[in-house]
This record gives sequence, C-alpha cells and structure tokens, in this order.
Amino acid sequence: MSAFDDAIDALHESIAGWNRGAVPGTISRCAMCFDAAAKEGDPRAAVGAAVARGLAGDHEGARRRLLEATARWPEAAGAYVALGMLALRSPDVLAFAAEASWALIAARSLAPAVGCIERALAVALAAQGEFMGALQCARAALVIDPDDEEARLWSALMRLYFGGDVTSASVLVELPTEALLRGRSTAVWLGAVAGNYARGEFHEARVSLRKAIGVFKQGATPEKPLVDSARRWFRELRGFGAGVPMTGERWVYDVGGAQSEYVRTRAAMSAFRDAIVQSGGRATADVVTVLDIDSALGAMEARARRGMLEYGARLMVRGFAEAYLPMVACLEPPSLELLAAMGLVRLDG
Amino acid sequence: MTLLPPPWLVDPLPWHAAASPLEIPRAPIDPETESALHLGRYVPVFGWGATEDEARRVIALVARAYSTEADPGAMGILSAMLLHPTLGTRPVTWLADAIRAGTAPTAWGKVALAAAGLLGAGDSVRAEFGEPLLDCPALRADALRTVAVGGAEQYTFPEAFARLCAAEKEFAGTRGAESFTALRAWFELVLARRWAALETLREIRVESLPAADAWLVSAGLFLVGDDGAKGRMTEYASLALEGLSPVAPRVVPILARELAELVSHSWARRWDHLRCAAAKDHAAAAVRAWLSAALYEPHDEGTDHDTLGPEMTKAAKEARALVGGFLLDWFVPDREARSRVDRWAGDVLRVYHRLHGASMLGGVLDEVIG
Repeated sequence: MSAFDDAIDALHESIAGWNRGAVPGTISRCAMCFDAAAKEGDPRAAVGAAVARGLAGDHEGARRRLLEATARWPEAAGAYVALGMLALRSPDVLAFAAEASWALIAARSLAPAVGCIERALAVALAAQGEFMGALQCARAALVIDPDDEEARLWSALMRLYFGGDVTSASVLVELPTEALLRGRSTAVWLGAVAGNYARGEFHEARVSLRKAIGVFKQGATPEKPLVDSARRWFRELRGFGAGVPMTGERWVYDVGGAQSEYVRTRAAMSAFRDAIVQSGGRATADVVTVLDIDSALGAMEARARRGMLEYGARLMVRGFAEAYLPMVACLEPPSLELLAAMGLVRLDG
Repeated sequence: MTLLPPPWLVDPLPWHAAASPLEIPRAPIDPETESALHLGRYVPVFGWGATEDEARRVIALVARAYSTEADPGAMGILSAMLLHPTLGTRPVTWLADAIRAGTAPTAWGKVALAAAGLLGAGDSVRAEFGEPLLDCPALRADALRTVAVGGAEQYTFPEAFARLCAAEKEFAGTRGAESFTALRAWFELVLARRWAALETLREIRVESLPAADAWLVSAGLFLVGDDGAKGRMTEYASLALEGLSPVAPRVVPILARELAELVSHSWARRWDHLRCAAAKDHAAAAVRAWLSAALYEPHDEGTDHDTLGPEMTKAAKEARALVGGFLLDWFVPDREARSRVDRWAGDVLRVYHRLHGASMLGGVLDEVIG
C-alpha cells in the first residue's frame, strides 16, 4: 500500500471518529502520510496534507500550503476546492468569504457541474453578500441534486430575506427533520429559527434555537462563541421583526414608524400634490405636475423596499452564515463529496 | 485712546512699493484700481492699525460699494480689501488683540465683521477674516456666524453644520442660544432634509431673534411652502437694513433684487427640496431602527444561558457601518435636484450675511461716525 493510500485511510478514519473535530492522533498520522506521498510529487497528496492540517486546527498553515499548491498546479481543481472548503470552516468565516468565493469559482471553471462545488460556492457567495449569485449557484446545485438539503437551506434563506418570499419559510421549518435523518448535525435547526420567525411562530423559533445550540455545554469556553453567535443572530432577527417585511401593517414599522423621515417625506409630498391640484396653473409654470409627484412617490417606495431587502439580507443571511458555518464546522466533518472533489478518495478500480 | 502702531508699518511698507496705496477705491471701479487691487497695492481693512480712522475708513469702503455711482461688480472686487497678500489676517488679528486688551472698542470689531458680510466675501475669505475675532468674547457669536454659516463654495455644508451644533452647545442657556438653534435647524431642514428640524424652526420665537436670523428662519419655512413666509422675509429684511440706508443708499434695491431672485420659482424650489428628501436612503434609516430594536428591547430566548452583552454579530456591525453614514442625508443621489437646492441655499446664505452685516453696522454706526 502506498503512502497516499495510508493517508486516505487515516483521513477517513479520523472523519469517521469525528467528535467536534477530527481524532487528533489519526489526523496527525494522516498529515505525515500525506507529506510522505507529496515528496513523490503527487498534487493530491499536497492538498491532503494541507486539508489534514486545516482539520487539525492549523488554518493558516493549511491556507499557505494550498496557495502554494494552486500556484504549482493551477490546472488541478482539488486545491481550489480545499481552499474554499477550509475558508468556509474557519472561525471568522465572513473574513474569508471572498477568498472562498474566488477559489470555488476557479474550481467550478476547472470542474463544471459538480453539485458540491456549486453548493459550497452558494454558501461562500451568501457569506460574502453576493446574494443573487449565491441564489443562482444554490439553484444550480439543486438541478444537479434535488435532494441536496444544504442547497435547499441556503436557497430558501435567500428567497426569504433577499427576495421577500415567505413561502420559503416552510422549507426552512421542514428541512431539519429530513436533514437529521440523513445524518446531519443539529446545527440545521438554526435555519428553522428563521423560518419559524418569519411565520410568526415565536415560541417554535425559540424551541428551534434551543435545539440548534442544545448540544453545546453551557458556559464551556471553547463552545461559548458558537452559542453566543447563534444567540446574537437570533436577537438581530427579532429586531428585523416577524413575518414578511414591508407588507400591510408592517410597512410603517419597517420604515421606522410614523415619525420616520420616510413617512414625513411622503406626507410633505402629498401636501404638495394637493397644493398643485388646487392651483394647477401656477404649478405648471414651474414645470411640476401631479404625475411628477406620483412618480417620485412610487420611486421612493420602490427604492426603500429594494434597499430594505438588500440591507435585511446583509444582516440576516450573512449573520446566519457567521453563526451557522462555525457550528457546522465543529459538529460535522467535511462531506465525502467534497473530499472526492479534492481527489482525496481511494480509487479501488 | 493710545494705541501702539502695528509692527508692519515700518519701511518698506507691505503695500508692494506703491507710492500712495489705495485706501478707498473710486466708484465706478476703473482698470487702474482693479489692477492695484490685484497687485496688493492697497491698505487692507484695519491695515493702518486698530484706530478710529480705520473703522471709519471701513464704513466708507462699504458706503462706496453701495453708493449710487458704484458698478454692479464693485462689491466683489472690494471684498479683496478684507485681507492682504502679504499681511494675510494680521491686521484683523491685531484688531482682535486690541479689543481683547480693551484698547479698542468692540464696535470696531463689529464694523470689520459687518464689512465682510456686506461686501459679499466668499466662504473661505469670510472664514479666514472672522477666525481671529472668535477669541473676543463680546464678538464671539457674531464671529461664529461669519465663520460657520456657509459652505456653498466648496460644498462644506456638513462641516458648517457640525460647527453650528458645537456653537449651539456652547451658547446653551444664554440669550444667543436660540439663534444658533435656528441656524442649525435651518441647515438640517434645507440641506439635510430632516423634517424634525421643521418643527424646531416652527417652534422658535422668531420675534426674539436678531432680524437676519429671523429672516433665515423665514427663508427655511418659505422653502417648505409655509403661508406668509415670503412676507415675513421682506419684513425682516427691511428691519435688518433699517439703519444702513443713509450711508449705503443702494443697499435696499440690491437686496430687493436678490430677494426677488430667491423667492421666484417657489414651487420648483419646493419640489427640488422634496425630491432630495425622497432620494434619501430611507432603507438605511429603517435598518438603523431594526438594529436599535434588536439591541435595546428586552429579549427572552427561553434558555438558561448568560445574558448577552450589547455586542452585535460581525454581519450586523458591517451592515450598520454601511447604513450609518451621517453624510447620507447630505449627499443624496438625485444630483440635479440637490445642486439646485444647494445653489439656492448658497444664495440665501449670501443674502443672510449681507443682512447680518447690515444690522450689525446699523447698530454701531452712531458710535463710530457720530
């Protein structure tokens, strides 16, 4: 058996025994085996050595090795996939979201129509704040695999907060049960929090949050940032308000209340409109018509709605990425599909 | 009053070797006078020192600019005499020192500030000229008006506004406080399009303000279509110009023409202002309200975890940084409407300085020329 095969076995062994991180001894052995294989010039081994270090917690070292690998073998998609994957598993995921995006875009160019790359790219773009691109990637991933629950989660989240489509709240609420059956961690309950809140199910939202963070010990130092991050995101979600933004009675609340600049500007414009109607002759001389005012009112509302969706998505979707991705990185190992996309599987022939 | 001569009055004199420097230009201004002014062959305001003669000379300068023989561009050309290319602000600093030391009366400082307003000096010249007089407690409020009320030249309205806010705090509890509240609210309503300032302007007891400040309040209310604001503008302008007509006969017709310009196209100006208000980033304001609601409203998530501190998620911090821009209200994206409102505001402020100068000079005229 070659050093590379030994390394792959060790990698899969450490992943199988995943418990809020890879099994320490096995992942070290895996890294050493990959190092030995890399000396023979195998690009997959260089990627594997970096991934093993990244999973052991050395994100900076892993990143450096992967950047070297992309420079040495620019045509190999594996290094780019690994770079994107590790960036999305870093503790400060928003800081590395742009790097994850470019790495995964490069990977997608080299290996098109791979579901897990599309899905990871959707996550990276969402964390970066590029919601339209993220939505397109999530949809591409769902075309390849309609059962991809992670792609469904991100697609629904962006439809809800970037598109203002409340029907996607149901997807978020129903998704965790299905995902848990497929072996996913309890982190997926965090998506249900957004779904419940959008449907006005406040009690259920709190229950979903408890389910998402319940696996972590209270007050445990290494896990506290994960728990607090989820709780902070939930608090901000509450500020955003329940239900679909900008509908019915919520509109006045959403624009800041009856004394807001929006409401008062609207009132001033309506008063001006009335004045013009009453003395049209004078107004025409100054080239202001009722139509001009109506059009300005419409444009103001449309711009406010679009802006609120943009800002809301920046708050909610990126906040979700900030809370959810580190939880997933802690509770779940990288998926086998991603390891396969990096070439870190043994081909038995 | 015995005064020391200023140190620059030794050979060679700083009037750029002119045998007889220009003291009060002739009117209408001929090419020789214009050339002398360009070359610095003139004695700036208070250039011969902080003396009574100099105070009278400044009044004569203003009278010449507003005389019936003066040409329309005279004021702009004569405003060059406020500063000098070699001396800069030293003459007015010398005057400020003399006023602080008690060797010169406050009235001379008022004359100097009035000249800056009446001669229509631009923002930067006016600010440079008024700055030394800020240190004289008796003149501070007027000097602050001279220095801080402006911004049309370089689009520094937000900076002027910040200075007025500081002045409002500085004068809190004194008689001048309401004036600075009015000035601050005018900037906020006209240039930042914040409607809360409209209430402030309506609540102010205009009759207790100096005539020029009351005129500015009326101009702000005129912009938003208040009934009777135009009439009040005329009324306060006449009040401000009351004492000056004997020495500056053309001041009333000139101001009347400028006022007529300001109040023409009232619907179009109001419409431009409303367009600017509509173009503001209202979504950003909404997000600010959401974040405040999230952080400051009581929150029970039904867990036994410790209470969360006020820290937000990184995403929220970045979103707030994106929407928290103070300048968002000033630099609205509807540039066409914004530049028209800004131009109008610049014209209003130019008239304001003339009126303020006129009322200041009218108040001290008897004291200086008897």
